[in-house]
Amino acid sequence: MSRLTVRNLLEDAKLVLQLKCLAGAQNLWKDITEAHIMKAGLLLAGVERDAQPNAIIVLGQKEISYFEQLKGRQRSEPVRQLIDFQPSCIIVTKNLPVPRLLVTTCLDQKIPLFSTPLLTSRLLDNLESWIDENTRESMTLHGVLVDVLGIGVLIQGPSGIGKSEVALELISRGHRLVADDLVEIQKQHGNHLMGQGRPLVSHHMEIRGLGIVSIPALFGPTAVRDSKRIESIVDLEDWDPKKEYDRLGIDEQHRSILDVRLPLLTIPVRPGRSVATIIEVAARDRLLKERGIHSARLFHDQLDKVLSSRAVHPAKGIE
Amino acid sequence: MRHEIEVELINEQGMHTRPAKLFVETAVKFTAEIEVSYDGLSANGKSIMGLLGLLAYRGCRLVISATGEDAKPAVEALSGLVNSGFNE
Repeated sequence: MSRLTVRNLLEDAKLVLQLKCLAGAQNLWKDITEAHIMKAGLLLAGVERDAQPNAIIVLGQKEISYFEQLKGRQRSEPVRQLIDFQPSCIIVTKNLPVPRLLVTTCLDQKIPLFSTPLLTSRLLDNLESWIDENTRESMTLHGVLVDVLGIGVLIQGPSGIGKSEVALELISRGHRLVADDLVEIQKQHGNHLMGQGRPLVSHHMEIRGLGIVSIPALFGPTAVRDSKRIESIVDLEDWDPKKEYDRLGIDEQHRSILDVRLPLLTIPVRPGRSVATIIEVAARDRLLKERGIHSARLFHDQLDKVLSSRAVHPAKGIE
Repeated sequence: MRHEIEVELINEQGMHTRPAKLFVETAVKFTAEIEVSYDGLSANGKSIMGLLGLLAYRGCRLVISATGEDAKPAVEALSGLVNSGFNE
């Protein structure tokens, strides 16, 4: 994860935050990667005391009005409250008039003080999304990413197992290729993964016996998409007769990528088994589960009921 | 066993289709897992599309790494291929 400092806010986020530096320009090194963004609010009145140090403190209309209605010496208390929390920076929105005492104190204490023309809500929004975008974790993985019925399925497995062939079959059934082989993954909003391919090559596939083919040229532009949220993982492996594969589907396996937990299916590959069909059915099943319908568990419960009622009345048939 | 070596792409075309094909043809002769890294990306050394996806051009420095029993001969063969300019 890349580290961000107050300087990045001022210089690199110029377009989205439009900050103008009023004080503390020599002190822009503080880390804001995990900084809390907070509206000053009751901090000023000394009521709220649990502000995190290094927070980014935002002053809007309410805070400035509060300031303005205070007289002379009363004003020094809220300023002291703010400074005591050692914010990484203070931002005044809407181009509101910045109280002179705040400016002189920030100059004196070398605390970065900014003003912006943006409304408070807009600034908070932009600030959060800019920090999120610029601190995203990322990595590359081997696999094929396909959008199957709207579910982003990452197909993994050893080379030569037939990942591309399975993806090709899915594409010929109308599903969409996102990336073949090299999948770049980015963690967004702390809890979901977006996958995309490499420029130029991602919508091409190498099929043994055919060579390199262009998917949008062969199947049309709807057969591909540029990025997709990854929602499940399918692991292909050679059929191992000694291994027990999931036969009930009641317990689910998971695998974590960048600390995001995703449902995992392990599918053994054997001639005569259409892996593409299995993946398609798995995607349908996933959609059902998202709507709260877990087929395997539902069947399990229904069977439970029938068997227990038959144990009591052995002659009773199945309704 | 793990071995790795850094090489420079000296051939005119960089990691183009024919060099990628030659690389993969050599890589699949070994059982070791082979990775080729460049610019923060790492591609499967046994996949043509993976290698092409690096978009590595002449002068780029690649790290070839292999993990497995025959990692050492694999890295030697592959770095030899790159250093020969893919026999261009």
